[in-house]
Amino acid sequence: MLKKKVFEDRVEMEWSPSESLPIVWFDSVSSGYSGRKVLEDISFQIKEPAIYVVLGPNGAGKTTLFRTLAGILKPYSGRAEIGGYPSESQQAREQLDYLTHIDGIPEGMSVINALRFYANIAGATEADVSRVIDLLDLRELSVKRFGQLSQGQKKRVSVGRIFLKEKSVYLLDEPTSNMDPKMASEIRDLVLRLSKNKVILYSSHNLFEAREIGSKVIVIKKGKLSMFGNISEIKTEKYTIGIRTVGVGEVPFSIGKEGDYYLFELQGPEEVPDMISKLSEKGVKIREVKEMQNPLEELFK
Amino acid sequence: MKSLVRTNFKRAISFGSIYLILGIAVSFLLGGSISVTGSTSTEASSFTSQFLPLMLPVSVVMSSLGGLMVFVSDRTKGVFEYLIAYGVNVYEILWSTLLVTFGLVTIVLGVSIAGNITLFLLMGGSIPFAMIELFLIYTIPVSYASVAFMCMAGMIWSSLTRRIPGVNSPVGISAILGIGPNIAVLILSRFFVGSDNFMLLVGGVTLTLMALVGVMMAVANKKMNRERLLSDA
Repeated sequence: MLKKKVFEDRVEMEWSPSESLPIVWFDSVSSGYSGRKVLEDISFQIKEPAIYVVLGPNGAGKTTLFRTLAGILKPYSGRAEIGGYPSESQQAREQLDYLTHIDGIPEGMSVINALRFYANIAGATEADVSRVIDLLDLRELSVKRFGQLSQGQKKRVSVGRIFLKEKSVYLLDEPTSNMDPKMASEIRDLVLRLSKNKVILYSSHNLFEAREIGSKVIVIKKGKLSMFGNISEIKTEKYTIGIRTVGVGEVPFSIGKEGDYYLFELQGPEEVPDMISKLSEKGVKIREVKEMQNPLEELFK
Repeated sequence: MKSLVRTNFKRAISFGSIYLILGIAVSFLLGGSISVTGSTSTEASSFTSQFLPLMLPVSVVMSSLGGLMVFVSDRTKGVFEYLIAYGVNVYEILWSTLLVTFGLVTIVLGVSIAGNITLFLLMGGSIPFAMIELFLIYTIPVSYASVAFMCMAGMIWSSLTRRIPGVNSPVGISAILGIGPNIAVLILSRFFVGSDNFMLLVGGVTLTLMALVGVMMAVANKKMNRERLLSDA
């Protein structure tokens, strides 16, 4: 759907037909709030469907980037386009769905009514609402008021909104924050399933999550583009994870303990699944895995 | 926009139900007590014909806070960010809030005026022409104008300021702003009642409020950026 529109419009818009066509195009974009620039002169083109992980420290401009792409903020200079249309246009909005870092569920609504509210605005049907409820296992929660849910359940409802209607480009601002590891992993699986032939921009603070879900990376540092490329290009010198176990006992391979977490030093996030398998084989029951220090700190300096 | 108005109207009734019930109850208390006094003397009858129509807009303003409460909540909770991303524009958001609030005004006015007139008739009293005249030329237009003024002021205030947790400031301040012109008319009416100038005062207040709302709407439409409706979170 997206490609067809892009091709049709490219011919009209005087761009070289031989050029490979960007699905998302940021051309020297500066953007921000009340005249204060948060993003400065950012340029990149996304030509292939894939999951692009947007990395950057707090305040780097990730949310501003998403808001500009979603047509919420108007660039001060440069141009932002989705599928050949300016990001503020209705044609661009129709190709895009956006999950913000806040829930955005109207106060006082039940889960099902909140999904119906957004389905109505997005042009989705009652069947879509029902499908999303089953997809995200929300059946038991559907009549509960949103305010009565736990943080993780709220996030699940919020994430459900992006599955209401099929789009070509998805902007997901920290979709797994406040979720337990199991639910976060299920959401990542859903995003991976969704990602076929789609462009997904997925912001995260976590390199392990970034490597698990994406192959491309966009790094933003102090409002400027610091890297746009393959995630494998990000090298970490040392990668320490902490594992919390069920019960107490000997935990092999651990280099020490910090609070409830047994520490493990690895070469990088790609070694995490191996380590989990090895520990499971030794009978260790794992409750939680987390990065003990952010390996991206080096990259953000 | 139709579905946004419909959904938010239901929410506004639910959010502001206490204000809605209190506002209608106050109008009946006023009407009830006045109809008792009104049936006993001619002086009181003249008081009846003016006091209820003049007081009613105050209770209408208080009863119609639900629409503004929904607006403030949606801004704080980040709902507008999604609506804008789906293509709903600032103008539609402002207008939908105004229409929701007008819906509440219609309920309160309808129930209060029809209910009080029925009450007067049931108590064996007659409906003075001056009272009907005041309902038509003052109560109804001033109620809509005051509430629109309150609502616009609240939306602009809410969009220009950061919200302090636990303080529902835009709603409270706007209610005072909305009541202000009505209180002024009540005070001034002492000096104008019975004269042609009273109608001038009433008409002047109504037109001034409506003009103010029009200017606020035009300014908000031109100057209010989408970023003003984003949550502070």
